[in-house]
Amino acid sequence: MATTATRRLAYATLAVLYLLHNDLWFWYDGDRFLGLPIGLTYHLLFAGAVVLTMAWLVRSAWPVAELDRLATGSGSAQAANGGEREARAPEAKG
Amino acid sequence: MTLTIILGYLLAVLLIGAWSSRRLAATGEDFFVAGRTIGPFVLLMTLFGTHMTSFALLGASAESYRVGIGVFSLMASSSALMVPIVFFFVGTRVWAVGSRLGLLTQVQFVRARWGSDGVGLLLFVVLVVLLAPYLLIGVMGGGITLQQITDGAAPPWLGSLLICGVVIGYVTSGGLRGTAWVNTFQTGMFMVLGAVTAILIVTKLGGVGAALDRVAASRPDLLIRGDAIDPLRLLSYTLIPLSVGTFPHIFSHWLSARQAATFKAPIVLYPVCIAVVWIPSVLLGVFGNIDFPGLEGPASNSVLIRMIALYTPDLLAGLLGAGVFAAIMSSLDSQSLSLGTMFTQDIVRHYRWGGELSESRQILLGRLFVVGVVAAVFLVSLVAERSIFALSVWSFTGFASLLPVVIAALYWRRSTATGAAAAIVTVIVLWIWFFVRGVGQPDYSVGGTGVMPVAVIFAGSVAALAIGSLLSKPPGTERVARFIP
Repeated sequence: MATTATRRLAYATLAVLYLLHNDLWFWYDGDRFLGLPIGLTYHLLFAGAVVLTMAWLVRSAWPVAELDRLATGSGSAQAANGGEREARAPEAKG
Repeated sequence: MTLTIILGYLLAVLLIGAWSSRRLAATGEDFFVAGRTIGPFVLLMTLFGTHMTSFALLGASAESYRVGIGVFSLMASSSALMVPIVFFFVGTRVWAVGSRLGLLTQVQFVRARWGSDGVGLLLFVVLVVLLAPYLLIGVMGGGITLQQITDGAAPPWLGSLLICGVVIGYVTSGGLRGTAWVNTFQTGMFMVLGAVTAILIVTKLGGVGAALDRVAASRPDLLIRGDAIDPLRLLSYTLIPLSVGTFPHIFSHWLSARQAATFKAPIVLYPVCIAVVWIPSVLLGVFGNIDFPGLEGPASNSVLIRMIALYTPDLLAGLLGAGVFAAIMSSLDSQSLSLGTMFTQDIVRHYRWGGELSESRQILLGRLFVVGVVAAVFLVSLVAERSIFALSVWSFTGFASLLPVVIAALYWRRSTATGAAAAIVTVIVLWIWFFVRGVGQPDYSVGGTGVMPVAVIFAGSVAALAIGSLLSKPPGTERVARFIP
């Protein structure tokens, strides 16, 4: 079960990644790093950092309970025929 | 040789589609969302293949030829961050709510959330209008690619016809399951072929380091972002990938997931897929300046095909053609099926044209609409101008700006039908306003500031949603509880 603190930390990490995407510091830098222009290597490594962050996110902050609560209930057996009408019901009642 | 390879590939695609149709159960849910049984690997591959168009192979290399390595940060790594975030926060919740309520389309989703027929119909029109040029671009791109790689021997209509015919074949036979299985194969194809193309060409150029040295000697500006990309453009461009949250074809694939955990693979591995496809495309585009310097306008769009013709003509041209067809069809199939689903569910079934629809009649109508949509797109492709390609970023802009409506439906209890309608109308008005001023200008920004129109339209959408919702009567708690526990 993900704790609130873990979730907040994970979401804050995403915000930091968003800021790090805007790498003004390599804008005019033509040096090479790991064999590629550093502006390209940076964003390749950035994609790697996203992979690690998302792996941590789904491991530690995955809202399983919420999703299960949302997904279970009357079930999908009604699927193609009843779903839309079931969701309309409250309006008809109210 | 080239045509033989492409025809062989298309035959393989049709066979996979036919094989998948054996598992088709005679229900609308099975045809339109694969009975919600798709597993993690297929979901990852089909989501990625559906999202990536031929632009990832041809357009990315052309743009990199012109702008340089900055294209990767602008279009690829921004998607690597934003798309998994959308899957995590939006996709999983859409799946959960959709599974429980038996929803098949976004319009059903909106109607169920706010109980408004009008908002649903408004959204239907906007989605169809935004998706239409997207389909057209794919069909035309296939025709133009086949013409170029056969050195003009195959007319453009032939490539378009082949693509349309094959897509109709496997989508109508296998529904979303067939589409997902074929997409898995096709996504693997264009990922592998893109990498193979890059390795072969770069090897002939003497390796990455030697090729970069040659580019640095003549065009060092291509190896930095420099003045080619404005920092505000990079910042505002991160909103464009949010369009993945409102594409009807992505929505359908979300609903096909077997369980919540199925989303883990797409959420974690999406950036890997992006890197595999985009790094070769960007590098090859930049390296195109070594042998083909000074290409202007439409000529620069064919830089990858020119490089293949120069370095590895026969076999690779055929394989690249198959790869481009794979990229195009893996989007076109899901798009046409999602439109077929929308016409069947949101119009015919919702308004009960012809009375209550049986399961078999839903499938029949779905198939007929897919055929109708693809045939109509093919006919329009015969007369449409190539300038239609400039519409893709505008299409993405419109979809991205609708995301606040979806987020509000999933997370904001106080949101109302009035707010949703206000947001959609605001998107329409602002989109038209910017489109009239910016269409045909690839580097258009708001007032020349570098800020892309999507930032303003998105902000307008959020503001209209908030104001419209707060000024209208709060929704009933029972209805809200179905979406937000």
